[in-house]
Amino acid sequence: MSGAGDTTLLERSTDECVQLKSASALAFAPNGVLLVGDGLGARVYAYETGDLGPASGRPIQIDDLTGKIAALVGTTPDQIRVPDMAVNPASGNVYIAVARGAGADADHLILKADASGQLTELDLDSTPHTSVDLVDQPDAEKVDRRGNALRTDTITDLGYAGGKVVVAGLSNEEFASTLRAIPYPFGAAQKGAAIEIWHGAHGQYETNAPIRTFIAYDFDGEPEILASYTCTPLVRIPVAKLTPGAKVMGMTIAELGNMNRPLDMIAYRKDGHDHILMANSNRGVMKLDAAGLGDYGPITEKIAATRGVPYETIGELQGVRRLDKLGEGHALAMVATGDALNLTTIALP
Amino acid sequence: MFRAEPWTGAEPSGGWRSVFEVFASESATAPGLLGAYRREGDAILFTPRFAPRADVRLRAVLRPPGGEPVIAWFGGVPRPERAPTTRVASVTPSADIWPENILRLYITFSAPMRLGVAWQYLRMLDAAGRPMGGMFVEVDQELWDPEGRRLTVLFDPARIKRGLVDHINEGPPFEVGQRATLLIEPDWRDADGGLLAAPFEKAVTIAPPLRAAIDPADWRLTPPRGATAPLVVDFPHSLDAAIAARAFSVRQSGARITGTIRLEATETRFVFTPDRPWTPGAYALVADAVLEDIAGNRIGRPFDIDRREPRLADAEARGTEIAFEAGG
Repeated sequence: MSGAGDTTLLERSTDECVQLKSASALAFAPNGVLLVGDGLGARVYAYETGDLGPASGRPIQIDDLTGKIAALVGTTPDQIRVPDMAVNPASGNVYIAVARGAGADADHLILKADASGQLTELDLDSTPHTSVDLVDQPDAEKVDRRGNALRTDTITDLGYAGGKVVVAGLSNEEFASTLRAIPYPFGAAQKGAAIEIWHGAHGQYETNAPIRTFIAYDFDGEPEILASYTCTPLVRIPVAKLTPGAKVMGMTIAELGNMNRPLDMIAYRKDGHDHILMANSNRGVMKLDAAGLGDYGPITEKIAATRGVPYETIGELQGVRRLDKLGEGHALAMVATGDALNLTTIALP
Repeated sequence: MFRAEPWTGAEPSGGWRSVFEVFASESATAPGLLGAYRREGDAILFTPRFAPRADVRLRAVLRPPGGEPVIAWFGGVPRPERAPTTRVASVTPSADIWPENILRLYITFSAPMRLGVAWQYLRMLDAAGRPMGGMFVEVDQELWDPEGRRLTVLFDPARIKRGLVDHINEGPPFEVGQRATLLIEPDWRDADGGLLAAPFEKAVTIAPPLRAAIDPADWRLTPPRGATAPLVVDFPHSLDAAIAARAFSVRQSGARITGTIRLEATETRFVFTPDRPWTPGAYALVADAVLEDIAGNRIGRPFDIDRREPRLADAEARGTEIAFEAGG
């Protein structure tokens, strides 16, 4: 069963005013700690929201999310981007990353909504927080002829697993991965050092490959991450192997059809059975049977079909971009319908 | 800032927002603007969290106790359509022959672009002009430089890397000998709302894949012929332009020489012109291990390592250093 492991409490911070340069990924650590991935700023922030519930257990439904956000911040809906959202398991409230502005000079903020659907802003300065620096790039300071650094890391996903904040990134230059596992709470002078994540293409070819999305998952009590590379849907990587400078090979345990990669995943248990729900780039939402997930061996031979963990496609769920668990029996889905973006509570299938 | 007056009573129990609110949307379900309230004499002052855009029509509503609401309108000045001035400034690889396993493109615009919509406006067309599907890694986050002018586009590595389902079933993104066109649609708006001045098209022909590690033994270094002449290095294949621009340095006794780097001849030539004349002596061209060619191959390590090749089993990307004399 997936889970977040031991609880930790964050120290109060002495950081100065926070100016997010980006907010591309959100996740929750235990005790209402919101993790915010700022790839452009090369930092991960941990906010002690104090939003500790009790969980309302009520569904969240926000139609025309971008329109409502535009109304809050005094602009037009086409100037709003919503890169990610995360549900605080302690309270059942949803936190939403927002960019206000069409270009790279957009303002970045975090909004919060409860079951009433009312949106409020998380005060990034007054909310106690700590952060960790992700700068360890060779020649990251190198600039172009006009004096601008061009290389950036985008944080594609982050999460909390086995006492560590795990951060997956994608560079806009080299293809190498920038996975990091940073012990949490963050230490004073700590940096998130990069780990080389390799991808074995079925025993024959291997490549240093980036991770696009992942979830924490316990296998027999050992925390691992279940990850999707940019090139393969589902691989296992033990958190214990994620040490700075390590070269780690993921183990492919599922192929889910042609040209398909997960956008987001959640793990849940229903009627005594473990499942993974996956929003995909091309094949809608899939429900994976996670019974005995640890028993699937690595897919090591060349195959031209689906293989490994069995799944079914949930046909009625269309346009799902992001998923998070909302209480035990439900998930919150960010759904794109035409130009509109809605937050909808769905019963876990 | 918005000001409502007179207000003589105390702050209402429901807060200032319950009696004074500013809306940026006509939707009945839209919330009022985020912002801060304060009292100043007989006035309620509201400062929005963000300065509203001039083209957004604002409706300020004051609800005096026992009276009819007072409504005032502000803003809503339509933005004139801006002349389309932004262009595609460059695409690299700049060559019009691409290897079958090309890994990425860099598209540089003359002005910052609108983010979050790239995949609607980028197409590869086949020789018949039909869109080729499933070509790119369409990450929501998009891979931009900090200014939003240069977009990195990754071709789908699941189709490039050998042995994967997509490589087997769909084949690589391109086929050797194929002709294809990169199309950037002109209705992509820049960050300021202007359309592109013109569509951008680049026609390419697909060559066999590059599967070997970069080997510096294949480079041809031409030392500078004169005190202010450039150092020139020629490569057999195009290098990744962005990485090459920071992976190379020129050093004397380990210290970096400042100068101007240019990549020429479809990124197969590195040209370094020092800021100050060469002083006679020994120099080194240093390449960092991050250097890649346009198929993701590095020095000493190909993009995907064939485990059946014993000499590649422990292949590690490495840097290199090539000595030369200058200023003599």
